[in-house]
Amino acid sequence: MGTIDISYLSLGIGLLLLLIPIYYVWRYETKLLKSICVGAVRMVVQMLFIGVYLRYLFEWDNPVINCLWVLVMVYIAAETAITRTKVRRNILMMPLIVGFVVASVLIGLYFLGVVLQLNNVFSAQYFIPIMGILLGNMLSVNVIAVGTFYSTLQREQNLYYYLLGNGASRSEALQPFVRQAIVKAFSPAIANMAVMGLVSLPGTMIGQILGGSSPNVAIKYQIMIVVVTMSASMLSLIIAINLSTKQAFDGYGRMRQVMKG
Amino acid sequence: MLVVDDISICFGDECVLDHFSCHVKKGDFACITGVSGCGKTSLLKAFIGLTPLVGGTIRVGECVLNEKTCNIVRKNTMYLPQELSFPSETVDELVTQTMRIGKVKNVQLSTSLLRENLQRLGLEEDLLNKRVSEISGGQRQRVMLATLALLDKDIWLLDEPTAALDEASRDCVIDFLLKQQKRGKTIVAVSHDACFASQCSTIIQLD
Repeated sequence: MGTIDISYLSLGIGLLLLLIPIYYVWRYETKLLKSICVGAVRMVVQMLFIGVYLRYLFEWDNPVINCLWVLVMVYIAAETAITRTKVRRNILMMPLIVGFVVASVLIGLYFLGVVLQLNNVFSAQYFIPIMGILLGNMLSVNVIAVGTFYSTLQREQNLYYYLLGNGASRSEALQPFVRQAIVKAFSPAIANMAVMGLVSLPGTMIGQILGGSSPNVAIKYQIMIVVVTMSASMLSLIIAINLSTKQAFDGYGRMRQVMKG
Repeated sequence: MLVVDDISICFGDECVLDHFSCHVKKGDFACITGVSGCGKTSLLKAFIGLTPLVGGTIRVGECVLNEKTCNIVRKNTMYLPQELSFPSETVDELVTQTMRIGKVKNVQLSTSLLRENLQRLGLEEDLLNKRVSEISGGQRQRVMLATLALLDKDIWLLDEPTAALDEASRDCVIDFLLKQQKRGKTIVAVSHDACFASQCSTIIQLD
């Protein structure tokens, strides 16, 4: 069973649906108009390009090139997170990069090498899409969680200083803020996981079924995708928060200027 | 017990304390007083390294306060800030948050002693079941004082402990603190309240 292609004309007709969110974003003066338009254009251009470079990556199928490509994706993800969280670059950039790389390598290679038992874990067909989906999820979780962590910390400094001043270590005093960040970032994913198959049919599974895979195979992949994305997101977040807090406080545990502006 | 030697506290170009010195003896009940914005809270927070110093030194007990010793100092110090806008839902949760510090530090925490402290501070026990938003700022601060007292630290640093209280409640707090002083605690409190200051054994007047 082949997949029905979408012609460029049909794709254009489909894109017209974006006018609905664009209208309401404009109508309610949300200041998201520019972001949604730029985002939509970027998505289309980037997805057209991905078709080109994925073809080459698959053709070459070279482990070194594949790894370099993942490093480029890591850098772009970290840059995007810096922009969206409004946390200073010198505090967050390296922690994010380390978090993304460590989580991708550990969780991604565990999935490819131990679960899928691939002979070549760097095979472009598996390595690139899995790393892509991991990084996409890690990016969303880190943007929400790290942003929440630092903005709440800034707003409720008195709680942090109260705990610190009464003898809590820095990590103990930061616990309520880490807790809040995890709850905010993971609640949607946990809720989604609980209704998966009943309410939501996730994209990866739909993509595989449309691509001709059997539903049984697609389901097993989907379960693993949910597990690896959640694990990698949590691991990268904990690494990013722990490493960034080393920069965000002075030797006395006092908060430095962490937010831009 | 607490020795402040030639310290300066500046925020940008403005210095709230310039080459300031003072000391508080062990077992003293000291009141830091002065007009608004003169650096009372900054000085109080400086005792536990929460205010950056431009110069000078602070000694707490045997420790000269610095990056390496600030954690040791804080373990022996109780700090009650003036503003307590915590994100807790219930009063009990607010208390648990503080008790957790004690648990980590292996301090024996007693619920019966907490009840006793609440009573001595003029508070009803059922306050613990209320939502934080339902109780007043003064009640909240006294709940925190009752809870922090369980940590049984040697030095108490209190920021305006009677600011939001009526006369009867203020007397309860003063009485509670005088009893703690008799137990050997060293208390340093920031206060605008002349009646509170009159009960203290040492006055640190800031200009």
